[in-house]
Amino acid sequence: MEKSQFKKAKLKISGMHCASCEVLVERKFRKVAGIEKVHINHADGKAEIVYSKEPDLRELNELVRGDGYSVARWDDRGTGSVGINESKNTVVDYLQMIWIGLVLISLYFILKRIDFLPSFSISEHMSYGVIFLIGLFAAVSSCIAVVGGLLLALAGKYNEVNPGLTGIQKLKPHLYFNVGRIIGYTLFGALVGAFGSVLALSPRANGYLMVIVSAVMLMLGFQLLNLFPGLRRFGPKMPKFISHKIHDLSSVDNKGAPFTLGALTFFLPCGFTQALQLYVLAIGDWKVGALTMLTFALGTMPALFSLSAIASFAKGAFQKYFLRFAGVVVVLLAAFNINNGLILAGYNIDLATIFSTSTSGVSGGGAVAPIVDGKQIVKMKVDGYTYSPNKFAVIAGVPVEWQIDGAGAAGCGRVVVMPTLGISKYLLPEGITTITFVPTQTGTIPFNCSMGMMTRGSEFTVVPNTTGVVGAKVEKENTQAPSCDPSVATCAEAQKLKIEVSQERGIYPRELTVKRGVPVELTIDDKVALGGCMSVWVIPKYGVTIPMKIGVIKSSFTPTETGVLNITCSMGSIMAQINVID
Amino acid sequence: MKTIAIIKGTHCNSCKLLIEDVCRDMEGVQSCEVDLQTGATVIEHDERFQQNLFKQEVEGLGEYKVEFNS
Repeated sequence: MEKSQFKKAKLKISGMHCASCEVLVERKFRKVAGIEKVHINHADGKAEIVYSKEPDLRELNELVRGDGYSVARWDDRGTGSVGINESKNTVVDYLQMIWIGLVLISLYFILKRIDFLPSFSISEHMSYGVIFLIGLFAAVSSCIAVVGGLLLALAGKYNEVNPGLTGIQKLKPHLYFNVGRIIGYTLFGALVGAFGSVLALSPRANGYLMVIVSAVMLMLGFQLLNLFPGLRRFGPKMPKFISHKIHDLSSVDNKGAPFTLGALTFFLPCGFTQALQLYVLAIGDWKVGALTMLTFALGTMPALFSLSAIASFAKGAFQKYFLRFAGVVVVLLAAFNINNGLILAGYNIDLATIFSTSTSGVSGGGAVAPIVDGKQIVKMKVDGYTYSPNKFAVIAGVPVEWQIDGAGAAGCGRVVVMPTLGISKYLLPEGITTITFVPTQTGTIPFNCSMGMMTRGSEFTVVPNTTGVVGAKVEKENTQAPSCDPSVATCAEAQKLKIEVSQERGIYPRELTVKRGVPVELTIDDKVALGGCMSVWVIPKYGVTIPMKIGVIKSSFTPTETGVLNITCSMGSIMAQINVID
Repeated sequence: MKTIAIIKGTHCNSCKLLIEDVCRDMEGVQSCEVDLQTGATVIEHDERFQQNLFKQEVEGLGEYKVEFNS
């Protein structure tokens, strides 16, 4: 054969991830008659071959397909594919993804509508059986959003990097993950119990953490679905520690990475975990802390482990669909979490408009509220975890009377928080709760519940006062009990109560006693920053809202009935009790 | 005949496939099975098989280290 007959060609090999792949494919190609020289680079998937007889692409494909690779013409790598089904998505694939996405979203709304997502209230006296149940439940609800999503994403990645492992081999890292999770929870639970809030993250830090974790999940989800192949090129640019973690996890021998990752899920933002952390924090005993978190982690295990088992033992077509399903779930959850995280971190950006528009029945956000007696009247209803409507337009400088029907509010929805105005208000379980404020600057005033779980993008839009509307004067809202009028016979000196919240003593005292019918002046001396649902305390019975901040907070009310009166956090966990006696 | 070799440095499935591929191409080898996790490689062969040659071939691939158990 003459030298001049040799020709060069470039091929695109998909599915390679290390140097061994390179050598493996090179060896296979060299055996093909007509191919004289092969050089492959696994990083960009480029194969340069020198041949005397043009090789059949289909034949090359057949040769390496069994090992999990596919071959295409280099020039075709962006557009059409040649006999390859793994590396490029077809229209059918995309339709399938959209279909899965739609099913999941509608499922979410159906569950929401029939109130399948109940709100647990975490009280002071919880048996470990109850905590276990909370764990069981948490694992199939909001927590799966973060931990399960992460697990799925990693499992998918792991399966992709290590094709052809047996189910048991695939399950191993999951075992380490779960063991790590249980040990981590016990350990950190004990630490939180012993040292208090040092270990608990602030809502803002939590928010950022959630965004970072979700971004990683999003990227992994896209990879699972083979969307945006270009993202792969960003792989090396991903922060080293993340890609190392993922890579380590992908290696079969490594026990440390999945173990550590499992343990660190303690810090992942999950409503239930946080509520229990606060519970442990309040009790302040390392033994209770360790046992509580251990029980909770054990409770979450069945669901998480079943997920692992499915991910590990799935085969063939089922595996393909499972991974696709997992990919869509991961991407959706990640988008949802990023949104929640941003709200917690203080940004009111609606990333997933589709989530809110379909339920909140958008209130033509532009319409300016009607003005009655110099006040802008705004009405809103709270249903479960939804505000309707959730967008209002008001005129700057004119007082707003915001009438909220909170009868259907669930969980933290019972408290409305307007971070920019520093207003928080407990919604009465019956009737209308009114919040009065004066918007002074044009722009937006976002509002949500104290944990950022309600309808996303809820806000007032403040427009300039162009029509010359004159607002009524607002009398300062009177949150104090009417001052004692000595001329009235029943009037008595207010009973003074004091509660201290500190790292050393937690909430102290947790039980107080007052007389019925006598005004109570409650002073809370808060020495630690409280996040999540604990940022607002309420006395539901008398509609008293106590926004917690470091310093001395005073509030007052008059008990009218004897019995036990609860002071709770905005989600209903009991913080302290007042015994009302005759 | 059966020989067991311990190969260090197998970190992924392609290593397994690669080594098995190389091994099967060698003279006298009937079958070859690499356990990815332990690196234990079971080679079934006849008298033509040469341990040294196998070591040379596999280590020549790059990052592997071959030891024989016997």
